[in-house]
Amino acid sequence: MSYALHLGTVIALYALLASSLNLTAGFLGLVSICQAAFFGLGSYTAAVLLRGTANEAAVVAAVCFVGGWTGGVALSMALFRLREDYFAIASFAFQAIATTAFYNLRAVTGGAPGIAGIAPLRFAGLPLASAERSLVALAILGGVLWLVQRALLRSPAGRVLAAIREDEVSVLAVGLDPNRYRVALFATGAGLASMAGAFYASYMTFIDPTPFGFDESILILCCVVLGGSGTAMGPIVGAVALVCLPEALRFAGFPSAVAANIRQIVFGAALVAIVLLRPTGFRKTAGVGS
Amino acid sequence: MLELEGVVKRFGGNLAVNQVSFRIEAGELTALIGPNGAGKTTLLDIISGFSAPDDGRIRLNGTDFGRMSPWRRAQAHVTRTFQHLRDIKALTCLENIELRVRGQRGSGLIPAVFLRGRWRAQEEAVAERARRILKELHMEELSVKPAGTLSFGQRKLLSLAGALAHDGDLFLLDEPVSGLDMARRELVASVLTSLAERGKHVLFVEHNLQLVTLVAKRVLALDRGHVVADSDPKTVLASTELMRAYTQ
Repeated sequence: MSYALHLGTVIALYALLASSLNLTAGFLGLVSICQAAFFGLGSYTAAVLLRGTANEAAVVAAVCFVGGWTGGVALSMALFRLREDYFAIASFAFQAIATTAFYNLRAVTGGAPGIAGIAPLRFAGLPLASAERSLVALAILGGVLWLVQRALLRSPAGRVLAAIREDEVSVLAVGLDPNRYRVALFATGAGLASMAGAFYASYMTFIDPTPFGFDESILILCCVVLGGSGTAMGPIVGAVALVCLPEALRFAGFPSAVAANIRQIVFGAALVAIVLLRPTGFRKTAGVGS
Repeated sequence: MLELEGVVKRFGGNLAVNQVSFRIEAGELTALIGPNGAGKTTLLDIISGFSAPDDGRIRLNGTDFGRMSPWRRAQAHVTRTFQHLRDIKALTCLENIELRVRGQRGSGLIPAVFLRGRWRAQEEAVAERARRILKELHMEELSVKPAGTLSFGQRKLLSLAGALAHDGDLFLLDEPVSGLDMARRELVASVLTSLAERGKHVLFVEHNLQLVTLVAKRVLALDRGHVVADSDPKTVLASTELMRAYTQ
């Protein structure tokens, strides 16, 4: 039961992270490879706020969201001069800088050994220490984000986002500034990833730089792309699939000496198969009305 | 009134637009003709803000465009279509037209999600207007088809439909009938005429001189960035300057 609860919490966490990236990668069509950096930024911010003492979830989450949002606005000023491949490369560069900072700013992050003894968030007096409570909190956040994305796609703004994704000039000719949409969604996605980091730090009670690196950014991006980018449900489906698949392979009975390597090969092959069989993701990529 | 005063545009050492000045009154249906490379599309880009002039001034109804961005000009009632089609392939025809209606309260991110009551009533009016435009262009049966599945001719009409939905004071149309069959050309001609009758400023680039003769009240002929002729269609099409431009 505790394993299932833990798995559910991890799925909810990745669903939230993937949904936060969906705002940029899915709605705007900009491949960003730095979501884990904002996830880390929020985790370390929460770790500093929660070191030794529990704190109100709303306060910590708000501080982390504003921190991530501000970082997102600042980064977008530089990144949005670039398009497509160059945007992806620049976002990767930011991820590399953030990873280096997580390892080397020891006074704040604790370096490679990380930070232990992080107190849980508190909501209405109750500590979110257990997997059940963390799962409920993350599921509520993920649900709200799903509703927001769904509402956005079914509104006139959904048409504008489809147009930005396909042809920015047509948006300019309508009389709208695509950069306002880009900055707003990129920064909001960064803020949400940062907020997810606060719940992660609170749930794990220990953090180190490992889950905030390049691999993690790619995994979050895979959740969006394979689930169905630009749809409200896609990132959630992608998170369920990509968290459960490696876990399922644990029970495949591979010889223990080579089990880890075989799992990696099977996982990689499964990703390639999904891309070949469902190039638009599990949920069909769509603009309006999805 | 649209006023251009000494507009200049250079690309490297080449003068694409050279000291172009003219005025177009409201309701004046004006064609811009000239051989390839004469600077016609560049001039539309400059007026609509997609290309910055090196010199000169542009005013629409007294508003100086200066360095105003293209989206601000579109808000200031400049409607533009492009030579290369810019419909959104993932959206249906109806959605493509709805997208182009100006002043939609639900197009902002926050109102779209949190202030639904502010735009839901307007959305029905936007859809109704889009359906009316589709009907006007005999495209009702295409309303739910994604733009990406349409033929070139249908997409060309869709871009005109988008311009009608945007409905600015100034229409800048780049080759509105290229690739269209005779019936659709006549349809476009009647739409252009009705725009002028409604008091819109219309400036359209066209290679089809038959359409120019049929609908334009005035023709500006460009050659290597210069206005070489500016008069009624018959006078311009018979001018030696135009003949020289096309034969050199």
